[in-house]
Parts: sequence; structure tokens; C-alpha cells
Amino acid sequence: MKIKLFSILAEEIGSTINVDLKSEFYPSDVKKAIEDAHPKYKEVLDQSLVAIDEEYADDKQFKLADVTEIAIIPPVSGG
Amino acid sequence: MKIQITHEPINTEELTKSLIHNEYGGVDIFIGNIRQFTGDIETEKIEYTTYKQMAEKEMQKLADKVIAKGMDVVMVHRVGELQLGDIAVFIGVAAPHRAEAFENCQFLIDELKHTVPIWKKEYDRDKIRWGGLED
Repeated sequence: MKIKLFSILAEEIGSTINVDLKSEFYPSDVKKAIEDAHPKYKEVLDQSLVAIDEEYADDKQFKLADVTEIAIIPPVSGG
Repeated sequence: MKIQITHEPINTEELTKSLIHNEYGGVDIFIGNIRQFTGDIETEKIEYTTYKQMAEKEMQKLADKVIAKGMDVVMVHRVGELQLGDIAVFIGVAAPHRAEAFENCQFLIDELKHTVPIWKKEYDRDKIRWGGLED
């Protein structure tokens, strides 16, 4: 699954990253997979939220088949 | 009601006029612009990026809470590279009375800063800082 990245993660890793997810997964699995590939960003990922289909996702189980888009949301800083 | 993320400069006069209606007696506006100094740190420019579709959805959710109370709302955030003095955000609330206008305008800008996926990359004289993250 292609995961969208933003802010410092997009600039340093790229605007998307491919992550293998099980047919049933938790949002925290997505962060863990990115952390495993890029341990340098553990601190940023720890502070980040996961958005599934453009909504902030609680860390509950999702079915991959029901999901269109996943994004990592680092701490926001608009305004 | 207007919710928008834009690359273009924000036209404050036009947005303000759009909030003037006969049923509302007060309009409160918050304008956020690029500040030069934060303590000893001197900022040269800020680059804003966004997850646009989600950001506009999150802004809409906030606006809906205020609109449900019988007010009108404008929320516009600019993204891209902004220079000192450029306007980054415009929040306007039109309400029957001023107290509600003040209160809800503050609510919208405070919540925008917490929930709307927009990020700043601050080019300071000493180094680059990413908003929201510890140095």
C-alpha cells in the first residue's frame, strides 16, 4: 500500500512510501513499518497521527480492502 | 460561508465584505501573518504545505460547528512560500452580537492550529525549523 507522507517526512523520505500491510491492520502498524525502514524518524513518527481516507484514525483494526488512502500526519503547524 | 486552501495572496477586503449581512451585527476577524522575530530567532520566510483534501474537510468540520450556532464563517489558509508580512491565514466570524463573534473566531483559529493538516517549514537566520516539532 502506498502511504502518503507530508512535512519533514515527505521532504526527506519522499511524498509516498510503500508499506506491506496485512488484510487486517492497525494504524500503528503503518507507523511501525515506516519506522523499521527509516529508524531516524522514530521521534517524528511517535508524534504523528495516521489518517485513513482523510480522517484521523483511532488505533482500531481496519480491513485493508475497505481502505483507499492512508497518510501519516506529523504534528500540524498551520496558522 | 467560505473554506479554502489557496496558493494565491489572501484578499482580506473581499473576504471581510462577504461577512457583512443584515442579520449579523458583528464581524470578528483574525489575520495571521509572517512574523520576523520570535524572541531572538529571526525568520526570513515560511513555506507552508498541506494535505489539501483532508485540510479542507477538517476546516469544514470546524466551520460547521459555528454555523450550526447561527453564524457565518470564512476560513482561508494560504500555502506555498510566504515572505515576511504576507498573510497566511484569515478567519472571520459574523454573528448577531460581538461576544459570539470574538469567542468563535478564537475557537476556529485555535482549533485550526491543532487539527488541520497544514505544516510550516520556517527558514530562520540560524537554521531551518519544522513547525510542530521540537528543535
